[in-house]
Amino acid sequence: MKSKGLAGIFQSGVAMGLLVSVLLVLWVVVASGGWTYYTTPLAVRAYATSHRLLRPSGPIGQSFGVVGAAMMLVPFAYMIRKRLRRGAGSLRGWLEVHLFCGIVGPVLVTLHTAFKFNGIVSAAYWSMMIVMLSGFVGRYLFIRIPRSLRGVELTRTELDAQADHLHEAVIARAGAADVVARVDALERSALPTAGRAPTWIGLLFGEIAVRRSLRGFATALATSGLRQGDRDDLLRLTTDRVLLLRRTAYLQRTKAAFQLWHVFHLPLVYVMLVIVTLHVSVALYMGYVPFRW
Amino acid sequence: MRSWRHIGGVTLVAALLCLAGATRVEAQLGALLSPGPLARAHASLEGGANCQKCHERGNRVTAMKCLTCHAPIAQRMARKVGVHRNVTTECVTCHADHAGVDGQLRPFDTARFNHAAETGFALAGKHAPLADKCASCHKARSFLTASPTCSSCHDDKHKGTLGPNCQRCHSVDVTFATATKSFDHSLAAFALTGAHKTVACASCHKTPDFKIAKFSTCTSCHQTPHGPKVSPVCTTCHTSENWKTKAFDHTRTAFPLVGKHLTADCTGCHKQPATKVKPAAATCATCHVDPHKGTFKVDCKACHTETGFAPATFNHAVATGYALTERHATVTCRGCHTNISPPKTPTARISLDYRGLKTTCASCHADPHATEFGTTCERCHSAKTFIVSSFTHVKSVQLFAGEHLKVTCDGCHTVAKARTPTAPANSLAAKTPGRALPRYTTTPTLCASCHLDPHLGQLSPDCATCHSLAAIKFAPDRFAHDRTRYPLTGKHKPLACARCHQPVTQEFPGGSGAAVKFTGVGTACASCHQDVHLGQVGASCETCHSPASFTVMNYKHRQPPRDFFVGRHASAECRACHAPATRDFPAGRGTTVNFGVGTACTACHKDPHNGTLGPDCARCHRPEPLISAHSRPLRLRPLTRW
Repeated sequence: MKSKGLAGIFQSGVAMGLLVSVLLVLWVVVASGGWTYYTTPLAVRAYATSHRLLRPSGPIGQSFGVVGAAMMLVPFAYMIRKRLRRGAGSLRGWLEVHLFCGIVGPVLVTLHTAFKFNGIVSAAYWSMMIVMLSGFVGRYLFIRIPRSLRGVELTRTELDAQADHLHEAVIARAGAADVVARVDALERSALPTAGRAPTWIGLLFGEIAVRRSLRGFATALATSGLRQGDRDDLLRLTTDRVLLLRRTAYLQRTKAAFQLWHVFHLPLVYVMLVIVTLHVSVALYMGYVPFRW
Repeated sequence: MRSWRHIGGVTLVAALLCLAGATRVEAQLGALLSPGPLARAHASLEGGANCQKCHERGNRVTAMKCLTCHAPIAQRMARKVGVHRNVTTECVTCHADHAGVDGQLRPFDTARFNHAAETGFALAGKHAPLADKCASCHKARSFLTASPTCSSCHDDKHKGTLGPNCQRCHSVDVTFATATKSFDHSLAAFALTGAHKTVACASCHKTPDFKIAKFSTCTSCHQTPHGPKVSPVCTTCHTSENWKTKAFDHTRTAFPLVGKHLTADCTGCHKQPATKVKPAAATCATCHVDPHKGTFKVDCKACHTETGFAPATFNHAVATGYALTERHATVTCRGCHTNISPPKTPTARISLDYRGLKTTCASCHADPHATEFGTTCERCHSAKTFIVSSFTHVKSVQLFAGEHLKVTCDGCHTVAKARTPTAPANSLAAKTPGRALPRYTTTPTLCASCHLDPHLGQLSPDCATCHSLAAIKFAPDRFAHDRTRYPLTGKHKPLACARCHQPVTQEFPGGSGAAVKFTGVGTACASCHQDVHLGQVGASCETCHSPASFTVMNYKHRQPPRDFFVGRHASAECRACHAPATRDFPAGRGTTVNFGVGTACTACHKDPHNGTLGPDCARCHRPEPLISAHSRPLRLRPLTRW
């Protein structure tokens, strides 16, 4: 993502979602007097200046609720598209839209609540938040299954061939023996201890330590005497190889975790759907019609 | 796995629906759908069955529903009175609920509320701070029940004896505790003046009705301490300001009081009761004792005034012919006039006799020079100070320049042969120990008479060859290394002398001892530098190095193999091949940069193939980046994403 720069941000649902969310929150909190409004005690908040706009039934507050709820329906469209296995747009594009809506939707709904969580509808809210957070875990696992540029999972043979190729390229650029030894040590430290099965902890958090080791390796390279271009190549190739070896080693566990993850991600979505339908029905019944203030 | 998802979802939804249906559906739904608890005042409207008491289906919350309960407000709105007289919007515009039990239903901005205009009762003076503390007066939830009379909020401390009109004595501008201070006593028969203004009311007014039977004379309240002989009309001597005020005018007597007499206590002179005393005022001695025991026959006023005994107005120059100038002007009388007789009783003053002193210096000061300069002290000293500030040596004038100018007299004129100072008997100096001083007229002028030779005879005895009086801290400002056999060039030029000339302890021409070695330092490189190459490259340092820099700037390998210094070898730094090594060198074992490196690939490179491809690297490699012959790899989705 880093190498693709700005274009990468526009193609990444997560990055775009976070960016839009931050801008949205900044607009509400800074430009629309949200900070003063949300920090005013609930007992007297109805008399704050921004209450007319930001209250859950106000022009901004209610619009956030309506748009947020609509965005939370988009992931269902992704679900349907996935099951149909054909239809408009690529599956990958749909996934990115799903991620974008799955991030921006909850942020909009949070602003719609004005941080006041009462009644059964708060159960829908917290369900939504759990689904969103579990979404981040799901994406973390999804990314850790190596895929080709077209999104096809790599076979075991392809993974091994790729690792071998990267090894040759690394050796060619490493030059001195001590650099090669360093790369070997790095690879060993990134993989689960020989003879032991990969652990859940290792899968979810182990990569942080590996990335730190890679940064240490980059620092050590700076004094190795290699030229800047060679150093950059070597670092990129080593990083790819170390991460590829690690993900190959954890592949079976990652896939198992990803299957199990669906069990957590999906059921709360139905809870949310039922309660929100009830919430919207009551609001309409009482006369709180969208875009009519 | 997929079936798990549906089972999980359906179970959760079913559980929630069961929860909703377990109790009375209507109440349960109301609680679940409520956007928050109602305020305390609306607590009775809590519950799903009551939603429509305020909410109108499809029409949100209407004023009609609110005013059905809040009838008094509806009536006042109809009559166009009160704060709601001009309201046309829905009640919920200002009154919002569902903000919790403690939620505010009345958005009351006390800063904007005009209490005087809306209620007819202005919150002025001490009532003003209560403007934002409505509950201080309004004890009931409705604001319409409070009365504007004082007694509706305050207790009557006078139990009704002063009537219901509190404003006669009290105002809203002062507190009850200080109300007495604001009361205008001039309205009463007895106006308060002087100290009467500060007396607490209760000191005179003993009853709650504040009435006093008799107050025509002072003795109605006060008792006289003077007895029957003094007039009962107190105002003859006293005023109402305070009892200590003395209305008596001393200027009408034979002795008007001026200067220090003004501050003297009456009883200092009037020893008898004040009503009888008339002391004789002709002479000072009537009240004061003469500490000079009559040695001065004139009247005290010749030297003293009524502004105090000290300082006296005595003029030393006129009266004695010896003017007291500079430091003499600051000396106390007793500094010179030491003829003091101790007092005979502990309370008596010291007796002084100022007569009998001469005007020569020696009558007071000791001669620390023991007559070396005779008795004409004023040739060098003045009455300003004993320190000689500007003495000019008339002999050897050339010596008194440069750094010598900073030297104090004691720097050369040492106290090795100090004498005991002489002082006249019975003088002030004779009673205090004098300072010993050296002889000034016999000090020699050679350098060696004051300075030691730190070079221990290595160099010429003529110090001026290298040193001058102008140089600070003996810097050899007249010395030039070019005069020696080894002129300094390149990096040698800025070096400090001590880098080559170091202190040693040995036998010198001037004797055995420690001194910086200036003679006998060799001119070969090895005299000062160590061979860091441990003998690998011989003793001819100048082959590679010059005094300009140790760094080897442009060394060329003399016999390189053909095709060796090409590709990456051509741009490699020296240290890439010549790395430090620890082994036996010609000059002994040690660690230094190794120059004995072979030209075989394995001398510098490690074989990544572990010997499997043989020792001849040149079969595949050149001194250039390795290019793989393998096919291009697959392109993957970036692995570095989080």
